[in-house]
Formats: sequence, structure tokens, C-alpha cells
Amino acid sequence: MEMFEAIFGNIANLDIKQVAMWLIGGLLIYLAIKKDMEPALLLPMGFGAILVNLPMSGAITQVIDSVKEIGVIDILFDSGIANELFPLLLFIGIGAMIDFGPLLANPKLMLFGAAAQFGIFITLFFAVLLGFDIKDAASIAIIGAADGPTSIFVATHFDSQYIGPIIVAAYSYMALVPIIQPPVVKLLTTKKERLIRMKYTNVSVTKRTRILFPIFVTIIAGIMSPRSVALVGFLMFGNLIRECGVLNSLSETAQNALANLITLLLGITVAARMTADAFLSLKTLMILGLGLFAFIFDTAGGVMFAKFLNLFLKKGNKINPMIGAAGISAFPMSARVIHKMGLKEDNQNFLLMHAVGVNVSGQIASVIAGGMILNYFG
Amino acid sequence: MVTGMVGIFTVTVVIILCIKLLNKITGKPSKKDTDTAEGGNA
Repeated sequence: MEMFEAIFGNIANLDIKQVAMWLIGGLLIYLAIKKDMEPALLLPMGFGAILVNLPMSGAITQVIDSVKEIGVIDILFDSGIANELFPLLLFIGIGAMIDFGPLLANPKLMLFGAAAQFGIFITLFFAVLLGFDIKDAASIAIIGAADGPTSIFVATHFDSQYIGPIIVAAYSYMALVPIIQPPVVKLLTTKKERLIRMKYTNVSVTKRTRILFPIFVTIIAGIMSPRSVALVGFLMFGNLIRECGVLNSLSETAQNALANLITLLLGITVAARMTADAFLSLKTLMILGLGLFAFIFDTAGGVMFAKFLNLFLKKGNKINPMIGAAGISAFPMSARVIHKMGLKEDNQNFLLMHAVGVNVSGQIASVIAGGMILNYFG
Repeated sequence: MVTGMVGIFTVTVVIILCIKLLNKITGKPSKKDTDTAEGGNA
């Protein structure tokens, strides 16, 4: 009998909320495997959600007989996320993956990246109206950056208690770009606008420009938005490694081994903030709703800005407003979605290169937006 | 909200000017023929 109790006694510590978190964890794993939604992040997060919600889980810190036993997930969280290390290291890998060529050839495209951050600021406003503390509201709003590491960085910097739901929302919506963006774009554009063809001139960019660009952007961001310099700097450091031409093996390591290793640890470590008590609340639903709102208004911001510019452009130089929607950070998914939408309207309308230029500008703009948020409220 | 958007557009415009300056300093990029093969419209 005593042996039976020793083996099964822990079942008495099981809470219905923990079972609910197992189901949420299972759902994340299902979406990762069956629907291919950001599997590198959602699968570890889903498994982590189950791991930390087992009764008296040894993976997270527990107090047993007045003795505090530190769990490994909490150790990882303190050493990788609480000090903002993981998202920054991930940025080196992301920077090494990005080719800023299309943007350097047509720098005006950066304006769309800026316009598509509109959702962040309007969501911040509504999150405060809904009763969130300003720092939590800022952390929630940054979901609209469509940039997972930036979301983690900002939420961690503000020590937001909602980091779990924020990251789940950020990565889920990034994977849902092909579902979220097309209806918003269609709603805001006419058939005639979607049929606009844009000329593409293949302009080559010198290697020197490619090398100097990350250095210049870091200096500009550092001067104008000093809080963003860690984010921008690590992103641009990765890009400099890629473009310098003498560190190919480091560039490959950053793009593959480093990015994979950090992603592997990031997902399961985030689960430290997915305990039933912290996750299951009305606020989580509100955060998911606000995140979707931010994504929709980011898309709308980019499209409406293109329509606004068209008011001043001559016939023949008009911009297809759909490319404005690619100004979010979800790269290259958003550019592909817009390209496909263009082809659907007219199978000879190739918007890919324009959309890619806007999309990489969204990468930079979202990081700068994160830095601005830190500057204003940090 | 307005301050945020003004801030991000200001930084963006400075970066655009910087790219234009870089392109000017490092040599004029050679313009190739209008291309459709790589995904552009003629």
C-alpha cells in the first residue's frame, strides 16, 4: 500500500488547469507537426507546456518540505531569456540569413517597412485602454512586429508577466500570415489596384555598400534609438559576417548551427512562463486578440501607405498597394504571399522582387520599432 | 502612437539617405537591362 502511494500519490497534486495546459501543449505540437506552423518553436513550446505542468514537476523550481529545488527550465530561463541573451544570439543568425540587396538597390522601399509598424502603436493604445499596465501593453503591442526574437527581447526587458502568451501569439500569427494577410489586403484594395504592374530594374549593389550598410545602420540606430542598439547591432553583426566575404564558415555556422541551437533551447525555455497559473486567464485571450489586431493593422498600415503615395505618383509609376503588406517582419513568407496574390490577379504580374525588398525593410523596421518602444517606456 | 510613427519614419528616412549616400560613394550601380526572368515586370 505504501509503495502504491509512493508511486501514484502525486496524482493527488494534479490540477484540472494543468490538464488544460497539457491539451494546449498538445495543440501546439499538433499545429507544429500537422499544419507545419513554425514547428521549430511551437513543438518545443508545446512539449515544454506539458513538462512544466506535471504535478510537482522537477523541471521547474519547486519548494518541497521548505527546501527550494531549482528546476532546469528555470535555470535556462534565467541564463538565456531573463538576461535577453537567447534572442540576441538568434539575431546574429537571422542577420546572417538576410540578403539586403533588394533593399539597397531600391532604398525607398524602407518606407513601407516603417508604415507597416502602425499596428504596434495602435495596439499599444488599445492595450492600455483595456487595462494593461503600460509596460505590459508595450510588450503585447510588439507582437505586431511579427518578429519572435524582438517580442521576447521587449517582453523580457519589461519583465512582463505575460511573456508566455505573448510568445505563443507572436509565433502562431507569424505562421498564420498566409491566412491573415490576404483578406485584409483584398478588403483595402480595388481589383484595379491589385492589377498594377511595377517595373523592375535589376540594379547591382557594390560589395562595399553591402559591407558598409550594417555598420552605418548600427551607428544610426545607436545614435537615434540607443536602446535598440543591442537588437539592431546583433542583427547587423550577423549580416556583416555574411557580406564581408572572408568569414564564410562563421556565416554558415550563424545561419545554421547557432540559429538551430538557440531555437531549440528558446522554445522549451519559454515554457517556464507557461505554467497553468500564469497562462490560463482572460488576459491570455485578450493578448491573443490584441496580437491579431496588431497583425491586421500592420498589414493595413503598409497597404494604406502605398495607396497614399499613389495619390502623388504619375500613371505608369504607381505602386501596387499589395506590396505594402509585406512590410512586416515575417520573412520571406509575407513576400511570397503578396507575390502569389499578384499572380492570382494577373498571371503575368511579378511582384516578388518588390515584395522581398519591402519584406527585408520590415525586418529592420520591426527591430527599430522594438527599440523605440524600449526608448519610450524603458 | 503619433510619436512612435514619427520616430520610426525619421530613423527610416535617415537610413534611406544613408543608403543613397553609400551607393553614391561606393560607385554608381550598373543598371542592367530591364529584367523579367528574375521575377520583375518588363
